[in-house]
Amino acid sequence: MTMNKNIKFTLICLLLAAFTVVAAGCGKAANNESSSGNGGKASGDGVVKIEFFQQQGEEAIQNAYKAVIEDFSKEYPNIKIEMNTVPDSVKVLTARVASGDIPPLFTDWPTQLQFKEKVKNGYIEKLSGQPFIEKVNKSYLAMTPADDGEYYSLPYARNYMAVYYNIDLFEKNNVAIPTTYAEFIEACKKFAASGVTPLYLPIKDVGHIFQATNIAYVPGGVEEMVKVAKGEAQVENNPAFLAFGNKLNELFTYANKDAAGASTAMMQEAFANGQVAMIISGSYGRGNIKLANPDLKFGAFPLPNDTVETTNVLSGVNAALSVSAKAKPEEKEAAITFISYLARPEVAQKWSDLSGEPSIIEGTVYEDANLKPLLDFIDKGQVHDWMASTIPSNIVTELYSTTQAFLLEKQSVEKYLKNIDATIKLNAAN
Amino acid sequence: MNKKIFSLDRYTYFLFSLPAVILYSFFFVYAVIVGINYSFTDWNGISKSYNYIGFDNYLSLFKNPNFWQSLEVTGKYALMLVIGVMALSMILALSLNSLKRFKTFTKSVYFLPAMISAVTLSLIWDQMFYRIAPKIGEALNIAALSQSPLASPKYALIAIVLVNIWQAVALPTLIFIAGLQSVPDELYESARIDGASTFKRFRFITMPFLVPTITVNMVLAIKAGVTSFDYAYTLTGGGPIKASNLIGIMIYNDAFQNMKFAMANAESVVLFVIIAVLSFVQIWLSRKGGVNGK
Repeated sequence: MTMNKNIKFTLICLLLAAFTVVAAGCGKAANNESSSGNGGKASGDGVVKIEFFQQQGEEAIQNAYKAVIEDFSKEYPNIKIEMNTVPDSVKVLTARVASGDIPPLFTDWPTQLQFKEKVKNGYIEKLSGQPFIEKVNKSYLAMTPADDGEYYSLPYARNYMAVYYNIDLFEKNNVAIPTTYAEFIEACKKFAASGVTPLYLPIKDVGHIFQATNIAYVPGGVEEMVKVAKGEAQVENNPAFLAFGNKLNELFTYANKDAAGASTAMMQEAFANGQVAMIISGSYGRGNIKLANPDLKFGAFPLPNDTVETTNVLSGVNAALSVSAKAKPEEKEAAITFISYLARPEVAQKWSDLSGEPSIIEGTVYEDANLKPLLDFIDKGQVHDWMASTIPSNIVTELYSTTQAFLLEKQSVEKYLKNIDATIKLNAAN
Repeated sequence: MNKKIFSLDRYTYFLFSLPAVILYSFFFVYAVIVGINYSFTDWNGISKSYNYIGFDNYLSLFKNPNFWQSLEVTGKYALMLVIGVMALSMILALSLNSLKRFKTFTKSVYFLPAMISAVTLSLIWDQMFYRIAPKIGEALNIAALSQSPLASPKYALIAIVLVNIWQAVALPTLIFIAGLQSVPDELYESARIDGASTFKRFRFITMPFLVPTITVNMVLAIKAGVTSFDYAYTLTGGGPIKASNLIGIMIYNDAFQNMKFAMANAESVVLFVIIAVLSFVQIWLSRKGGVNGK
């Protein structure tokens, strides 16, 4: 019996010892991984593998990156780029930064306040002085320095919010491209009269519609809202904002019947299928529309305000490429090699052709003639960056709900503006 | 007596449970303590340093109308979910238990939704709500279904709960069936001989045996309701107009979008306290009654 007990005791001790060893092993493995930024490792054959956390989920953009990565790996067989694209990527990246698990190579939006916060805390490698920075279009490069004036990313494309229009429907109904708000409404009336849905609005994802219309219809509106956040102003009774509310209301009357439940993806699908004459879309939608219907003929024009001179287009720097400051030296080297490769004009051109995104690398040309007028307008400089570059993103996203309430509850414009003030003040204080 | 307490068998039990205790402590207790610690700071989730600011996060949380609105939405959601899941799973369990043929097959049909991930399921339902619901509404002339219920601030929460219930009934149904099978047949037989009606047999025989399973299911359903996130996030993202802004969504957005990580931790701590209180009340209320009640 004693013998038996001793055996049992020894067995238990052995089991515990084994458990401790396994647990310690796990801990060590985890440590190793985090020190490498959990994204890259050099294998025995000298190949450096790095994770490329790519934030744009659109199929066309993913395909474009896949194609250039494939070309890259032929030229640099010792570097393996593993692209990782997840839903809700902005939040995933923040969570990974918070837990010290930063991908060695990632895309991010350099003009936004969140990016600048990451730079300030030393998470992102400085790229000033790298030869590829010189290849970026100067006016877009000028939008991207961090608070210390240095560059921490390679801006690769610009983006915009504009009106995409169905060329066949415009021709069939004899509608010219509107350049003022009055002409835009005229066009809507014409389409409605001939039984075509003039405009498709995705109120479920009203955010970018709010940003695009606000920037188009209220010159200086974003700056005014910054003042509201500081307690220095209010948009209530502001004539430009009143006009904005009225215009948004009017657009809603020409929109699809099921706008309330429609999402951005549904909007793209309806437009691709020729069910609607116009949509207010981000440049990111173009690739998806082309994938859904390669034969659709469509172009773009700025969402017009009362006059051409007062019209502003929402346009900014698209997801740019950055390197983690916490990555291992060989990972940083691999990441920078890849970024240098991307900045070659012929590679940027291929990427732009495949993704449909307008490249901002010098020496590239945008092939789509139907989008050229819009890009020329943007080049004239009547543009404003996305709101989150100036206003904290929590305020911006709360304003989306406020706008949803305005449209769905059919509130008065006065109440909407009052709510905008209240939303900004509440979220600026918290 | 002493000898018995310190016997080797006890050591064996203790040591065998140790790995689980260590792992649980590491992954749960440690995380909770760290979370509570952050709730007293001003950490934004990205900065390397932070300051301790006492109860400031809690104070501004209690002053924030969005937080109260979110709690109200979560309360309504949990209530609808608990009632729906309990009633439906009980009815399903009773019906499935009385089946004579194809019992296993039928049970697996009802268990099928539980095998699909909540996000996949929500995406499927999103399309059904958008494309099919308006057609049904048109055909039957139901104004509420004239558009996707998810688009309406009035019906969005109900629509989400329906999807959640559709998936969530599977497990409680199985637990209820297990409870029903523990009722000895002789009791029903003698009750029948005594002339007890169906309702009386259910009330005085079935129910007492089911009380422990009701407690389990109820605690699980309350917890699932109060901490729900995935269905609402996928179906509406908290909208329209915050109509489905569950506390889980608020925590997620504050932590990873709004750069208010410490505030999100304070919200989580409040949620933790609410769930703890609800669970204690529930267990205390049902500790008596049932065949094992004293």
